[in-house]
Formats: sequence, structure tokens, C-alpha cells
Amino acid sequence: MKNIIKAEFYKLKRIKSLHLVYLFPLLLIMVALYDFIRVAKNMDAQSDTTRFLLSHLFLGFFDFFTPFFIAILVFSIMQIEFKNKSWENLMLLTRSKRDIYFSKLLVVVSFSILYCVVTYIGFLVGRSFLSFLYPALSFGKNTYNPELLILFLRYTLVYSMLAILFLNIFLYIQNPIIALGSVFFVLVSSLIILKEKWAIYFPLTYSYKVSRKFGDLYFWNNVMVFSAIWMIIFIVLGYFVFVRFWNANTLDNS
Amino acid sequence: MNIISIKNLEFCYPHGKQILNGVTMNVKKNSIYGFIGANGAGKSTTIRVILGLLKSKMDAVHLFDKNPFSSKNSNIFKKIGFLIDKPVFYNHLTCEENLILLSNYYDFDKNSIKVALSTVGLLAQKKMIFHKCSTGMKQRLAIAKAIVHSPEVLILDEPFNGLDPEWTFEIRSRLKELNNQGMTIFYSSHLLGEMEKLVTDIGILKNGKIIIEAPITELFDAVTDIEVYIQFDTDFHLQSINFNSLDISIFEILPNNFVSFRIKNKNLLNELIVTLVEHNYTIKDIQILKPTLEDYFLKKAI
Repeated sequence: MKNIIKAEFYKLKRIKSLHLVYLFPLLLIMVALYDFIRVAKNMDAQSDTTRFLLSHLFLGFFDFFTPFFIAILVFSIMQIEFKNKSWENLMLLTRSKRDIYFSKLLVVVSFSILYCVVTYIGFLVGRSFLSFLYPALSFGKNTYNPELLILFLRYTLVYSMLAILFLNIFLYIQNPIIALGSVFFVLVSSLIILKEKWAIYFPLTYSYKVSRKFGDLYFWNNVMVFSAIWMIIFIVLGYFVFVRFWNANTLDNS
Repeated sequence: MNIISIKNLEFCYPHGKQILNGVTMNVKKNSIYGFIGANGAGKSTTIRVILGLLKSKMDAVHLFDKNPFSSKNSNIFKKIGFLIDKPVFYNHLTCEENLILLSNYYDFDKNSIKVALSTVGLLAQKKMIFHKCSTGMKQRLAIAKAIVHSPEVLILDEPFNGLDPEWTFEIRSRLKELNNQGMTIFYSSHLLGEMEKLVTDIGILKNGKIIIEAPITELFDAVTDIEVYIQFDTDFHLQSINFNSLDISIFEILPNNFVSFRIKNKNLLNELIVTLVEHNYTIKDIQILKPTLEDYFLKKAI
């Protein structure tokens, strides 16, 4: 299994779209910094600058685009096998659907974690840059460092869960318009239902819900519990369906 | 010892017609087994069942005298190198990287990659991105992939597809060398001329059944028909000789006073020559065409 996972990472070599894993969060941070610089003249030493940068300038874009970005990432990883019609070959080499499923799962979850880590570090670096640029503002006073760590850990759980959901879908769909189009549609729809009580049962709303809980120092809240439950359901159900119905031959010849 | 042993293999695609109707075959250790059949006879299906890509209802396939699909014997597949359909590689990786990737699935050292690439003449192109390779190079890399982990048996489906005459010859020689070193080779092809030069045993599949399985030498011994090309110094007149008593038929009158005869029994060749000489024909040249695998195949499998 260890070698199969190694192989999964090795075959991602030179996949250009995977560079987005650090380019995309950096782009979002740069947009937030630019916005901050535009409005900084209206701020003083009493302003809660970290919270303003995070909640008003960064998380709006981040919450909306990240699930879609994770979908693109997972889709790109799955496309490697579809494009090369190599599912059957992979089956012949590994001889185990379990190994195929869990190695792919580990790859997509790793990329989601990497994405969150890069975003977290990028945000901290961006904030340091602003505190250097505006020493009179309150960046040094209200750092929210523990809260930020908890926030990004929560994002990591939510996006890993979403990555597993997308993996289970994109194992069977190779058409980008159908795959990414439907994700985009569901994502926009989840914005509409966000304020409903029952929205907690829809995993695609969790990205928005996480940011609304910024400030807690306790990791587990209802969104996190539901994320963990969904993650287990997606893994168990996805694995069962994969082992029972997935057919390499059909996919390669479709 | 049989490396591949199949007994009464049946296979039917879901909601489809029966493809294999009791295939029985044995591939002996250290043989080169040619597997032939018309389009749709079930060759690729048989290979897919052997490799476990298609599941047969019965426990009909044995590799190295063991059931390869039992979980305790799954390592058997590591002793097999395969090439099925067309070469399957990751387009964005180089030739070398595609083989390095395999080292995660099989246990072999990096030096084996060098050896495999040089066997198929791709060592100089090892840094070439796969999608930039020509069809022939891709096919050669697929053969390198099949042999890189020094398997005990090679299963090849159309290994000479897309190869130019030079590399067809080279690969044939390398496969022979590997066979001399102890590797068993099982391959299917439509290039019967190529197959004839390489194989030691033949299995002919027709309508989902093996209709003939024999060493290739025995196969040709069984063929009594021969074709003879005789060149005369004058024009040949068909009416002048009665061939019926000799059981010889004139096959074709060709340019430059050549005539081809088809003789039902090779022992009749002497009598044919005597008859021609008796009829005052002067023979300038005689060429005897041996029966080919293609002749045999066309006669038996179509």
C-alpha cells in the first residue's frame, strides 16, 4: 500500500494544474491585501484589523471559491487516469480495488490539507506584511493566533470531507462540464439555503458556516461534528460502491 | 510443467452473447505459445480472463499450477509481464519516469530500467515525454514495461503492432533471447508470418473454442499440400498433359514461363517432374513453397 501511495504521488509530476494549490490561495490573499490597502486610510489604532482583513476581505472569496477549487483539484487528479485510459492498467498493477480507492483518497485529502496549510501560512505572512506597512494599526494587539489556527483546522476538516465527496463522484464522471458544472450549481444553490435550519445537513454549506464561527477556541461545534460524520459516511459508502460497481474496463472504453 | 493452464473456460458478457465456450489450453514452461484466431474469436477476452480483468464464473484458469485469483496467490501476477491492447502510459511523464513508476508496483532496481530501455532501443530517448513518442516507440516502451521486472512469463497481445520491419526483427530476436533465458511467452497476433518465425506452439481459437493446439512442427507435418513453381524454357500448354491420374491441379500460369502447381501429396513431386520431362518440357527452375501458418490458419480456422 505504501508503494502504491508513492506511485500515486509520483504520477502527479508535471501536472501543471496542481500548481494552483498554492497559486490560488496566494492570489486570494493578494486580492485581500490590495483591498485592505485601499481602505486602510479610514482605519485607526482602535480598528480590529485582523478580524477586518479576515472576515471582510478574505473569507468571502475563500468560502465561496474554495469548494469549487477543491472540485477542480480532485477532478484534475482523476483525469490523469481517464485521459490516459489507464484505469485497467492500474487495476492490473495494484490488483486491489481497496488499494486504488484508498491511495486516491489519500492523495486528494493530502492536497486539501496542503491547500489549507498554504492558505494559513499565506494569511499570516500577508498580515505581517500589512503590520510592517501600517505600524500604527492594531495588528500586533489583536493577533487572534489561536482562533486563526482553529479556524484553518476546521477548514481542513471541511475541505477534506468535500474532497472525499468529489472523489466519489469524479471516479465515475469524466466529462468536465457535467462534473464541475454540477458542483458549481450545487455550490451556488447552497448559498440560497444557507440560512435555513436544515442547511446543516448539506455539506456544501459548511464552507460558509465555518467562517461564521470565527472566534471559538473549541474545535468541535455542530458543523465540525457533521463534517466528521459526513466524512465517515462518504468513505464507507464510496468504498462500498467502488468495490461493488466500479469497472475499470468500462471506464477505459467509454 | 504448465505455466498457463485453462480448462473449460466459459465467458459471457452481461446480457451479451457467449464469447468463450469451453476453452482448454496449456502453455508449457519455456515455450513460445502463439494464440491465433479470427476477429471476434475471443482471443482478447481469453487474455483478459487470464489476467483477471474479466471474471469467469468457473475456476478455470491456473497460473503456475495455482489458482491466481485466490487471495493467498495474488503474488503470482508479479511473475507476469503483460501488454494488452495498446500501450498504456502516462502521457505527461517521460519514458524513463513511466518505468520508474512501475518500480512501486514490482520489486526491481533502477538498473533494470536501463536494461529494459536498451533492450527496446529507447535508452537515448529515455527523457522524451511519452506523448511526443512515435507509435513504434510507444509500442517498444510497452514491451520494455512488460519485461522490466524480469517476469517468468510474458503475455502479449499484438506485440508487433506499429513496429517498423527493423524493430519487428529486433524485438523478435530479443524475445527469442528472453525465451532462451527461460522466459515463457504467450502471445496473440494477426501477423502470422511473424508468429511463424517465433513460436514453438500454436493454439487456434475458433468460435470460443480451441480447435487446434500443437507444437508448430507437428502442425506443418500434418500439411501434405505443397505448392511448386516450375519454370520452363518454352510456353506451357495445359492441354498437352493429363494430370488427373497424378492428382495434381494446375494452380496458375505465371509470367516468364513459370507455372505454379498445387500437389495434394509431396510424394507426387517426383511423378510430376517425370511426367513433364516425358512430355518434352525442359525445366529451368523449381521452387517449392512450404506451407505457411497462414495457409494452415485459412484452411482450419476460417
